[in-house]
Amino acid sequence: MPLQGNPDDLLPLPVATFHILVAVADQDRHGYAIMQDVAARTNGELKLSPGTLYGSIRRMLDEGLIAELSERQRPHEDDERRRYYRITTFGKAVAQAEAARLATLLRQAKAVGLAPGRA
Amino acid sequence: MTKRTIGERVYRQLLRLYPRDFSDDYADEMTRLYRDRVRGEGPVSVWLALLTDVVRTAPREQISTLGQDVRHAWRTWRRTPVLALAAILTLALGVGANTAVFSVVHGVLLRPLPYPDADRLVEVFEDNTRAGGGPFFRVSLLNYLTWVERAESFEALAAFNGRDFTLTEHGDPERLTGSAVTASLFKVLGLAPIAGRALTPEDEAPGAAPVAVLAESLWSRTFGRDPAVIGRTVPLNGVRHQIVGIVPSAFREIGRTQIGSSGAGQVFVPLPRDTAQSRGNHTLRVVGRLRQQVSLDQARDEMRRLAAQLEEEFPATNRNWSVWIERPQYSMFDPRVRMSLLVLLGAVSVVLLIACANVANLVLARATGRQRELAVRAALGARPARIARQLLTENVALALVSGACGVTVASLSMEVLRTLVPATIPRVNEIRLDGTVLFFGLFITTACGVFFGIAPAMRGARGTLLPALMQNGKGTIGPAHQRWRYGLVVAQTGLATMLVVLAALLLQSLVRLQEVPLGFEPSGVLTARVSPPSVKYPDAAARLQFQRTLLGSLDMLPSIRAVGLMTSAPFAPGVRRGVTVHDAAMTGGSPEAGASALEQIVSPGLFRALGLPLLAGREFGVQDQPGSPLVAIVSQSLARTLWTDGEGVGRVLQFDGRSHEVVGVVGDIRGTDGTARGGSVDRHPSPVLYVPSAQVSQGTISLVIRTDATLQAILPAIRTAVREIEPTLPIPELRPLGEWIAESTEQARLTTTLAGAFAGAALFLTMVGIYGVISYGVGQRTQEIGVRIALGAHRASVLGLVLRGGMTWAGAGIVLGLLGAWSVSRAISSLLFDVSATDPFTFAVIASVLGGVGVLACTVPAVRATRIDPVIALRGD
Repeated sequence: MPLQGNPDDLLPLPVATFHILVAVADQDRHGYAIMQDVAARTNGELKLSPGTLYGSIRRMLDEGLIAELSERQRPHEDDERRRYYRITTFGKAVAQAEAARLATLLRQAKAVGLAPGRA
Repeated sequence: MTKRTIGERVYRQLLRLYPRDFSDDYADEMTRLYRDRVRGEGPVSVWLALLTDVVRTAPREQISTLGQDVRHAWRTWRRTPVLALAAILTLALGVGANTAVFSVVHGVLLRPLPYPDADRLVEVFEDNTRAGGGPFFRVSLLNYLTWVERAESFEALAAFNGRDFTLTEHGDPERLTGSAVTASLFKVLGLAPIAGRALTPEDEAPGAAPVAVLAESLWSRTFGRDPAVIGRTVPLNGVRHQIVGIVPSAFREIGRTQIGSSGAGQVFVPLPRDTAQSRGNHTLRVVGRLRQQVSLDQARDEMRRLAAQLEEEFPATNRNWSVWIERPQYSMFDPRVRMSLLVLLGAVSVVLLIACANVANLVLARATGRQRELAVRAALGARPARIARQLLTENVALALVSGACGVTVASLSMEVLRTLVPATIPRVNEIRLDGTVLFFGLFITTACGVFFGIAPAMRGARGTLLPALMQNGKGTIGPAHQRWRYGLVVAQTGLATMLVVLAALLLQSLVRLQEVPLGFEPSGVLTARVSPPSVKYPDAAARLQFQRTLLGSLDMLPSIRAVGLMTSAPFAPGVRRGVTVHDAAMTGGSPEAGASALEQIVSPGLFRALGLPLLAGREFGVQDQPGSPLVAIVSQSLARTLWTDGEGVGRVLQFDGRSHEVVGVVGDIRGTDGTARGGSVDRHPSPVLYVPSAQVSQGTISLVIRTDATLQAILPAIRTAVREIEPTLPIPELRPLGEWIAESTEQARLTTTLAGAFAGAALFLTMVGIYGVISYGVGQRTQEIGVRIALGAHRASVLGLVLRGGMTWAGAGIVLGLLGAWSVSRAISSLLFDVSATDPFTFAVIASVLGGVGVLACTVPAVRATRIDPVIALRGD
């Protein structure tokens, strides 16, 4: 069974993990879609390689951050029977905690003039 | 599904580099992803990215899976801490003992000598096998010089000779060991001086100024590494020698002897070219460096041909002498040292095997108990291969933890080990835990883990776990499983039997060794080496006067009962010269029918001091003077070799070209055989020729004192006596003769003690192993036994049932073990003294001891079986 404890225990999240959570936050996606979404959001700067992508997915499944959709839940238009992933409640909580952590960090950086904007 | 392209197929092959369950899960997905990307980006850039991706992430996934397995292993072992601890302790002891013994074998036997291209170094001996003298004789100077002229197999040959020095530079005279060496020695060993220069051929020329080279250790100790010492002159044995160079202290040990008469050589002087001596005077050690491309066998052939030539040219001295060449790693050991070490390594690995068998039993029992857990995991989707990998990781991880503990114990025991190994074994200081030894420890540890982890893993991989779900929670054992366990009982009983037989043989041998009559009475005898400075005592007359004064003043001390001098005391180190003697009346003047003997130059009173019985004739006395007729005393075995009636008194012996009248016959003594360091108790006494010190002069001598007092009590009186006679003489380092004798059997004692300890450990582990298997079997058969008792079976018959079951397997092991011991024990017969390697009595006793141990181990579970309450047993289900 996936471990589901305190979301803070998993922080800080690896960059790839956070990006994948963001990619599946609004809709269920398969591997290639996740890769494209991440690339699009980062203007092509972060291209997840297959090894990193599926290595992360495997760990995230183990940790209970995402779940794989069963065949019935998959979109009907996909004829290639790809595997789709959906964020779990726990995954959402962890992503929120990570976002909050990053926001705090950014605020602190702004306060000392290391980042543009006002704290 | 569409047909796969070549690129996709290649990519799928690459995905095999990931852990099996990863590629099983994601290979299809990743292939699709590959297809999507090739469509979008084109093959070249995709392939470049993919290759780096595989290289980067496949190892990461492997390590992550391993990490999971190890974490899982840790969790499961923590659930059975007692079992884990028992397994770890058992294995740690096995691995630790093996690593320690291997470190000795490696340091002493396997590591190359500390010289460049050490594999081309050889030691050259004169071989007297044809005359019954063995192949390891010292070399005569004239033969050596002829070899240097004629032999072509060697890049260089060198000769040396142990020598004692007295340094009278700083206050008290200091006694140093060292060698007289040919200049070529430095070239042969390939060592350059670290300061100054080495010896040169010019230093050897007659009339050259006396020079000396010091070892680094002496330079540090006495001269504080002062570079200005080069060029200074120091008095050595009363002669001022100029120090010309310093050589590394590694320049020390080679071959059958150390360079330097005992222990580390510290001073090296040129070997005098005294060509006036006899070609039959075997006093030198010779080492050589083979030319490149010349094999040991080629060199042996050449030197044998050369020796045959010399036999023809110099029949009087070279008849029956050939040449033998040996690599120093071989010649520097008594073959028995090598044998002992290998026997110990074998013994300790047997202990490890038995330990492994025990752990295998534990692990198998545990695996059986866990069948349900594993079956549940399999039902939840874990693949058999994944479960097998998990089980193997669990056991290898356990082994590695044990191995780390074992190696730690071994490294902590290094210091103890170095002191435990007799100093008589060369290269003891090279025993340490280096990379090779650590690798050995790691290797055996992993091998153990795989050994006892493989059976449960294979069962996991076969997926035979599912039926377990249908059984009751206890888990049942199939016949194959049970066979495995009984097979382990047979194997460990067999191995233990072999080891105990071996240890028993060694023990008997050691006991007999200590009871062997030595031919003299060592208790209450002290010995020391004494060398009067040659400047003050340059000739025979002066040296004789010194010896007489010394003996006279020591004799006056009240606690000394007898005192004498000899060339070298039995079992103590010293130079022993081999001579060929013959009776002209028996051989018609031809020396060929002569006998080899060791020469001992002795003073009057020596036989009494040593407690050596006079069998016929008289001892040497005041009538034997430098000018009087030459006389000799022979040992009993020499008399028997020379004359059929063994009667020697009154006969005339020829040796060194002169006639000597035999005036007495004394008993044979052990410990005088021609090895560099004393002798050994188990060798038959060598024939000895005794000549009076009044007629044959010698520099360094052994002082033999018989006293009722202890060493500490008598030392001040001796010190005062020596000071009065010769203040520049270092105080003799007196040592009880008994200590030298004990040292000569030290190695046999160590081998026996260790083999005994290993045998004891093997016996204990085997007992635990049998107990474990039998009581596990009883536990599994609780219901069956309960039914038997309920149906009226007597307690005695239940007891018999369990005992018979256990003893069938143990008995089979004992029989196999005896057969094994019988076939290997002959290989160790060289280590046995006065005990047959196949001594039937020993075999019978050990068989019954092992039988007793087996019965003992089976009794506890058997008694428990008789107490099974049928009601509880039957209700159990």
